[in-house]
Amino acid sequence: MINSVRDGFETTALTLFSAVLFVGFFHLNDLIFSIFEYSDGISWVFLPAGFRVILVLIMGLPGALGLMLGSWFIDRELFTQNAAALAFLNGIVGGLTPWLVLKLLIHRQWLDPKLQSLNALLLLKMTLIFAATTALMHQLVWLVLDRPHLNIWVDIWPMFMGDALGTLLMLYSFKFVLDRMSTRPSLRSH
Amino acid sequence: MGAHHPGAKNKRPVSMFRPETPNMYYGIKLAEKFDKIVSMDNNQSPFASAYLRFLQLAKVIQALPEGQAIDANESALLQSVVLRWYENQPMSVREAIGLAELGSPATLHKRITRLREKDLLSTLNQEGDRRAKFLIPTQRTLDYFQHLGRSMQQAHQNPIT
Repeated sequence: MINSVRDGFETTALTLFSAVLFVGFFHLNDLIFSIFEYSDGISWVFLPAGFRVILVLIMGLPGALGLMLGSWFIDRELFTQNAAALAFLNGIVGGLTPWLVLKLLIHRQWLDPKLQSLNALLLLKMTLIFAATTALMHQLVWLVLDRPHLNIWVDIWPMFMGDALGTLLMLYSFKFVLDRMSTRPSLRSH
Repeated sequence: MGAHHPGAKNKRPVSMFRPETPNMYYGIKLAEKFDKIVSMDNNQSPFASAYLRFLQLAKVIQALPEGQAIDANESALLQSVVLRWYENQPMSVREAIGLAELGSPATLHKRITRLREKDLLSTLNQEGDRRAKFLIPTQRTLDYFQHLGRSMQQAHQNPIT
């Protein structure tokens, strides 16, 4: 009983943390890379896509739910502008697609749930797979919902590039920080 | 049988093996502890499993490839060290910083540190003498040399005509 309460509390906390990070970096992306905006909602560099990979890998489903909540929060105005279905599906696609891809990779045994078999090459491949699937799913949703001025064969590329570049930027920023944080091995150590 | 040692009563049997001596008893206690750790591992809290996966991911992120792995000077030093290791005579740090043809001791010392930071070299202490420190290649270095070997083989098989 105590364990299930604790698990529930921790899962909620992880979900909210994931949502806050996604929303925070969405606004940061708007601030820094607004000149790279291709069209409304599509940018050539999209930093929050990095969190799609990182949060889903670390937190699993709570991370994905956080991404979904974050997306709904960002699109909250759409819910009152007769575009509730678009906002709703945007959130579902943005949050659950990476999680479903992760599940598929685990099911195919390309990855294990504890990430012990994850290596740098696989992480880079996953970055591309996540970017491609998320961009494709977003475009399909927009196509189904008849979003105006949509040209799926053209718009999918900036979205894919933006997600991939954003994720790579995030991963290498983390690498930069981690490299600086880790202790410098000295020949005098040990 | 199992109650020879105080406290051995009511213990959950971990196997058909019964404790006959105190050593066996402590062995079983150890096995029980291991059992407990394994069951904890499979029943982690969401925070704990997220943190463990974060550590795993951080390790992978740190291993992401960089633009230029090593420069020509570092490569020359790495080759010298690996050659000596291949000849079953690992090079000590003192010997490495004494390779005058590759640079001054201070320069070579910095170069060794950089190679260690890039996870291309690690050090090994000789048993009984902690002062002598030997340089040995890491798995990453061995993979790198294996890749070079394969590339040479491919170039040999497909010569430019």
